[in-house]
Amino acid sequence: MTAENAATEQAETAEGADRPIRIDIWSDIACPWCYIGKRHLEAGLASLGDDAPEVEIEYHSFELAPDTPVDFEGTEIDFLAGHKGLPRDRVVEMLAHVTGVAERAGLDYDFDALQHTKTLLAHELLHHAKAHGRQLELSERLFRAYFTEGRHVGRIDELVELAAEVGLDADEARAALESHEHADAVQHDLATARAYGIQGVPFFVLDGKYAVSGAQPAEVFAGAIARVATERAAETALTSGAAR
Amino acid sequence: MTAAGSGASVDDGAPAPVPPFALLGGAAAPVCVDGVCVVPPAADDSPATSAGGAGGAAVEPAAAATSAS
Repeated sequence: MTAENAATEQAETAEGADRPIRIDIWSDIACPWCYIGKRHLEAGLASLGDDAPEVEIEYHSFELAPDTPVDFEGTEIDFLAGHKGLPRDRVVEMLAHVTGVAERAGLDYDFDALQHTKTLLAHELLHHAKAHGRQLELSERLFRAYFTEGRHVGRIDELVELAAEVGLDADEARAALESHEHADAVQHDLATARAYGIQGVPFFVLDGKYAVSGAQPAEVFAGAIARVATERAAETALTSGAAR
Repeated sequence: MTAAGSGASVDDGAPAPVPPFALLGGAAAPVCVDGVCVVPPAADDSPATSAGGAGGAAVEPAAAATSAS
């Protein structure tokens, strides 16, 4: 290897080591564990403190219950008991349970106010937001709107309002939703999920190498991110040594 | 349906493909599948999952096996 080639390789390796760790997340707005998992991921990152590597997070569409109607008259309990055939008393117990777990993650779930709906349009809007660099902000806004504020995230008017709240142009957001500009992107995400064997969410993929399934504890996310960062550093050192 | 990576059959009867990833943290964490949210025993509520991660929080019995989507 010439000195020039070695220098080029070292520079490329260093550049690779410096690039953000990529975290791809398959998630649905109507998934209570996805919002909780989001918080656990954030807590895991925060726990790394100054050692936390830079990460690049991208949300991907996963439609948890495609048979959900846009407008459902009734409570979440009605939906689960009617659509999924679960005993009502058990549903009540389950909702109380997940509300408690959410509270311990710093989230205020209000299942009495929640408006069950189809999330396909919300996913299209998340892709629109991604194209405009606002996907993370919109993801958080949609989760809060759905689980905490009882907003209807299946209707265009409400979605446009939420889009504007995170800095997206309202007219552009409306046009994207009405034309279904990002419908193919949503379907691509769904197809990728199927190809990867993802059947439940949340599902996190780190740097295309490691996966974390479900709302794992914050320490699992911290460990996974630290592992990727450590492996990258080792690869960099190995390559740098070989290039000398 | 089953959790990703289980290798069990999906609704259409086809075998689930194995994800091309190494799974970290195991599979026993709360996950939502087909509109129903599953809580594996003792996976939802450990002190480490709580905000702030402070120790001492009681681990509730994993009586609630599923939750809503």
